[in-house]
Amino acid sequence: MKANLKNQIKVFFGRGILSHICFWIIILMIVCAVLAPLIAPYDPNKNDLRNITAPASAEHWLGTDYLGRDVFSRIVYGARMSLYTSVLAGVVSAVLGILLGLIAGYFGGILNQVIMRITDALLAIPALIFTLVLASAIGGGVWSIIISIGISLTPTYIRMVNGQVLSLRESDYIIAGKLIGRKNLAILLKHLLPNCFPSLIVLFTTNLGTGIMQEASMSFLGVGIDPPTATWGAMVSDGYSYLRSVPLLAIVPGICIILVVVAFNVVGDGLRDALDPRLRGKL
Amino acid sequence: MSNEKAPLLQVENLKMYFPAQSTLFGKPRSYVKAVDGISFSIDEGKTFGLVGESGCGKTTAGKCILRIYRPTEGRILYRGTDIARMTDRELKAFRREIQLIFQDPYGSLDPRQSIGDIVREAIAADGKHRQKGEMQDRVHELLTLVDLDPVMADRYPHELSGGQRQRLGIARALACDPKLIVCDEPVSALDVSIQAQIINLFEELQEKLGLTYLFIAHDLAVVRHISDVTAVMYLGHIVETMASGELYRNPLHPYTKALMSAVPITDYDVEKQRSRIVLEGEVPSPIHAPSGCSFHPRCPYATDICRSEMPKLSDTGSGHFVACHHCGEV
Repeated sequence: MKANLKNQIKVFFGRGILSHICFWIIILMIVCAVLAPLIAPYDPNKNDLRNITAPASAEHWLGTDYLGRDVFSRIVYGARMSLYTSVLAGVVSAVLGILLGLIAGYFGGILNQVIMRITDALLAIPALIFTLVLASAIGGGVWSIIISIGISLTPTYIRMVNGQVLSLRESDYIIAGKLIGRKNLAILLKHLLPNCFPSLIVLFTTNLGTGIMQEASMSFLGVGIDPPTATWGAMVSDGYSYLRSVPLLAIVPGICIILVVVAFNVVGDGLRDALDPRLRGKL
Repeated sequence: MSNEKAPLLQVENLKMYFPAQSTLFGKPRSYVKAVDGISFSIDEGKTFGLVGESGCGKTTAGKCILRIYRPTEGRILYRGTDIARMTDRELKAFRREIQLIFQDPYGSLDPRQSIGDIVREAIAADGKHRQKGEMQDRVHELLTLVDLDPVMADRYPHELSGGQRQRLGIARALACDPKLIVCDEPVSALDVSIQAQIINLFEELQEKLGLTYLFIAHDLAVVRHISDVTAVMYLGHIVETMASGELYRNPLHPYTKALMSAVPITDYDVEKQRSRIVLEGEVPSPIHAPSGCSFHPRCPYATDICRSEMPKLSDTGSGHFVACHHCGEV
C-alpha cells in the first residue's frame, strides 16, 4: 500500500511544474482558511473610517477598502469562507448524486428514466440562475448557499455515476462477480463504486472550483453570504466601483478566485492520472 | 446422484433470439437468431469442443448455459435439473458450480483488486465462515494449483502477463469448486507458446479435479487437442458433432471440410498436394437467415432440397452426427 501511494505521488508531480504550483496554491489556501485568525493581522470586519481606501503599505499589505478594513485580512478570511462553502456544497452534491446515479444506473428501467430526465431538466437550467432562485427560496444564510450550490452540482455526479455504472455493468469482471455468486449490492459497492472513484475524485476537485466560482458570483450579485462577512465575491463586488481609483480592491480577490479555480482544475486532472491503476509505475 | 450415467449437462433445443429492430413503440420487429435450436450433452469429466467462426453463436450458447442470458427457448439440464427458466434466486444453488473462463483475461479482472483480493473474494462469496489462516491456505493452494507464485498475491492484474492473468482467471473459477467450466476462447488472446501452457494446465486440472469443460474456440487444432467430442456450429445451428479424432480423419459436412482444409499443415509436401476448399461469400446475417439449410448459399454441393428444407442432425454411425442432405454423396 505504501509503495502504491508513493507511485501515485510520483505520477501526480511527474506531470510538470504546473502541478507543483497548483498543488501549493491549494495548500496555501487551506492553510489560510484553517489558520485565518493567526495569519490575518487585523480583524477583517473592523472599520477604520479615518483610513479608507489606503494604498498598500507596510501596515496594510494590500491597502484598505472603502470602510478602512484591511484587504489582506479579508482575503485570508475570504479563503476560509470560500473553502467552507465549496467543500460542504461538494459533499452535499456528491452524496446526493452518487446515490441517485447508482440507483438509476443499476436498477435501470423506469427509475432510471425518471431520475435521468429530471437530471436533464436540471442541467438545462443555467446553474447560476438555478442557484439564485433556490437560494432566495430557501432564505438567506451560509447554509442556503451551500445547499443550493450543492443541488445545482448534483446533476453532474448523477450523470457521471450513471454513465460509469451503465458501461461497467456489462464488463467481464462484473459478470465474473455474478458468476462467483456475489449479491447485487456487494457488486455495486465493491466493484462498481470503487471503479467510479477516480472519476469521482476528479469531478469533486473540479467541482470545488465551480463551487467557489458560484459562491463568488452569488456574493458578487449580493444574494450570497450576508455582509459584512468577508468573501471574495463580495470583495470584487464592493471593489469594482473603485476600479479606477483603487484597482487593487477588485483585482486582488479576482485573481485569488481565478488562481484557486484553475488550481482545483489542474489538481483534478493530476489526480485522474495518479489514481488510474493502469498508469501506476509508468510515466 | 441416483443415475451415474446421466450426462452432467444436457442442452435441448436451445434458442436465444435478440430483438434487432424495433417499431416506434419498442415492440421488436425482427430478431437476431444467435442460437437457433442446438442440442448436445456433455458427460462428466469430459471436454466438449464447440467450434465455428465468429458470429456463429458459440459464445451466446455458452452464456446461456451460464445463465448470463435467459434463453428464449429450450432446456438446459444441469445434473438433471432444468436451469433455463430459473430465477436468480433459484439459480443460487447452481451458480458456483458452473464457471466461466473469459476470452479477455484482463477485462475479466477488476483492475482495483489485488490478486489475493480477487481469489479471496471468490472463495468468500459462498458465505461460509472461515478462519483467517484457513483462507490464507486456500488462496495459497489455488495460486499454486494454477502455477502462480503465491508471493504475487499483493500485485495487481496490470502487473501480470497475459498468461498469468489467464491463470488468475482460472484460479478464481476454481475457488468456487466448479463442476463445469465454460471456456470461452480462453487462449485466443494469448501468445502461441503461452497457449500451449494454458491448454496443458486445463488438462492437468481436469485430471486432478475431475472437471468437465465446454470448450469454445475457433482454433481447430486447439479444440481437437483438448476435447473428446467436437461440435461445429454455423449460423446458430450445430452442423456436425463427432468424436474429436473424426474431425480430422473424416469430416462429413461441407462446412467442416472447408474449415479443415483451412488448417495449415506443417509438412510441406503434404501441404502442396492437398486441395483447399475456399468458401465463397460471407456468412449471412443472422437476422435474415437463409431458408432451408443455413449453409446453402455458400455450399458448392447445394441443390433444391437444401434451399427449401432444413436438414436434421442424423447419425452416420459411431456417434457421428451430420446435418446435411447430401452427407453420403459429397
